[in-house]
Amino acid sequence: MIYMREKRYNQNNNKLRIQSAICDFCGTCVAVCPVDCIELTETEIEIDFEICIMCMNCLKACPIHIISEVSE
Amino acid sequence: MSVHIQDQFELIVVGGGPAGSVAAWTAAEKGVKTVLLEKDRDFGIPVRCAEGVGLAGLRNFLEPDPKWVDNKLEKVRFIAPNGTILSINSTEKGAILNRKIFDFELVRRAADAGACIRNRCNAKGMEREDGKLKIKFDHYGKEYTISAPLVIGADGVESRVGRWAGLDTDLPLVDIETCFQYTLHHTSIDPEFCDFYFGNNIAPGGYIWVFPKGERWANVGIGISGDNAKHRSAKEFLDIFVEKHFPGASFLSSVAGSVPSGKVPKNIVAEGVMLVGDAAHQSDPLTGSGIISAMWGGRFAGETAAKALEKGDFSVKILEGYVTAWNKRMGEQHAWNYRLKVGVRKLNDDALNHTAQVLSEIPLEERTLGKIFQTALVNELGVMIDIVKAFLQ
Repeated sequence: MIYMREKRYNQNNNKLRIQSAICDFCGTCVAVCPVDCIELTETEIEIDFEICIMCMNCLKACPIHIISEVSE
Repeated sequence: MSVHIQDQFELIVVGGGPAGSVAAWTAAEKGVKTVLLEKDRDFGIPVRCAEGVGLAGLRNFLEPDPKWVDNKLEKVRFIAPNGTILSINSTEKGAILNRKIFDFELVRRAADAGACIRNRCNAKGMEREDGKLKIKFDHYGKEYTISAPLVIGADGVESRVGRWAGLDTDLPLVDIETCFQYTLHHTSIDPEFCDFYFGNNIAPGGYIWVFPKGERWANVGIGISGDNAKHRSAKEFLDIFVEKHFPGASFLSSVAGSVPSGKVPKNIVAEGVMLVGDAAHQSDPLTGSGIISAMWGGRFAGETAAKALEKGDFSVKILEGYVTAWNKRMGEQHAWNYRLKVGVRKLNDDALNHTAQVLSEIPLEERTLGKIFQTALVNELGVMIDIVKAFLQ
């Protein structure tokens, strides 16, 4: 699936927040991200909002539901 | 970098789980100059795995060693949504591994065979240059680049090597099982039984497993399909179960994770690149088991790497040899179990209860697969029997 790398899907300018303090760094969010916008190391995780299309796959698939949508 | 990676390598393996380690082990044994990059500090830690494996499958690679086999067992119980228990004696012995030691053993063997092993090397990107593949990675905050004509992507469910190579390894929510597991201690845990709990309120689109590691302790985990996890997380489903079945348990460990449960993507090789294990969605779509399948992936990819180097040909055509070999060994079962998974998703709790009821009426000593199959035919239980069969493998 190819998505345009632009923000048109994210019209209300919301962002996703990962509670990294309780993240298990398991990579499930990375696995379901259709645009590969999540950078993961052993103990760090970051979403690139220039690329994120707010599809919410990561939010749903996270085994401990620690990703939430927040308004800017 | 105190660890010099200046040598010219012929193969870069990204990821040090069973698939990557076996790939490096196999290739190095065949004389391929191999380097394996693992992003984490330790191999096998954290254990994102239920640790169940068939002993027969394992023996294709190494002899079971009490150092990394925590428990051996052959009794399986399926528990229907209404609590009906269906016990079956498996014809094949299974083992519950200690992955911390097992994974280390595999990577140690790769090192013994001559592979260069590097922990804490997080691959960040891949580029093609002059017919070679350049992997950029981070090691203790510094960036390095190495190149080789061949790359094996063994970087797990979250694989990025495939994406960098332009392969479509996207996992839609219906094709991923989102998982959570406790290693817990409870007096009720029986070391002789592997238990599987089914039900749309218990684990929608998946199941809960209780894999005993020994007397009174077990891996108790859940997998639910990604598209069923919107309102309640895997952990929340599991917490409800644990509270009911293991009240007052001690929690020795917990881990999150996920398993690909889709088809193997159409293309898992690109020029110079092969994907193996979870990165290639080689885990079983129905049962979620993936260790042996990943090890076959690693072995065939390692062998194919040696062949490609011998010929100096890294084209898709040559590397497809790996896919053909894996398909011959695992492909049919994988494809069949994918179809079963799709069928299972349509079953409601009543159908599961009914099946368990009918099958549990067969006396235990007669409850062989043949007898179950016969009963199933008479009662039109169809798909459930294949499921039972799949879990016993």
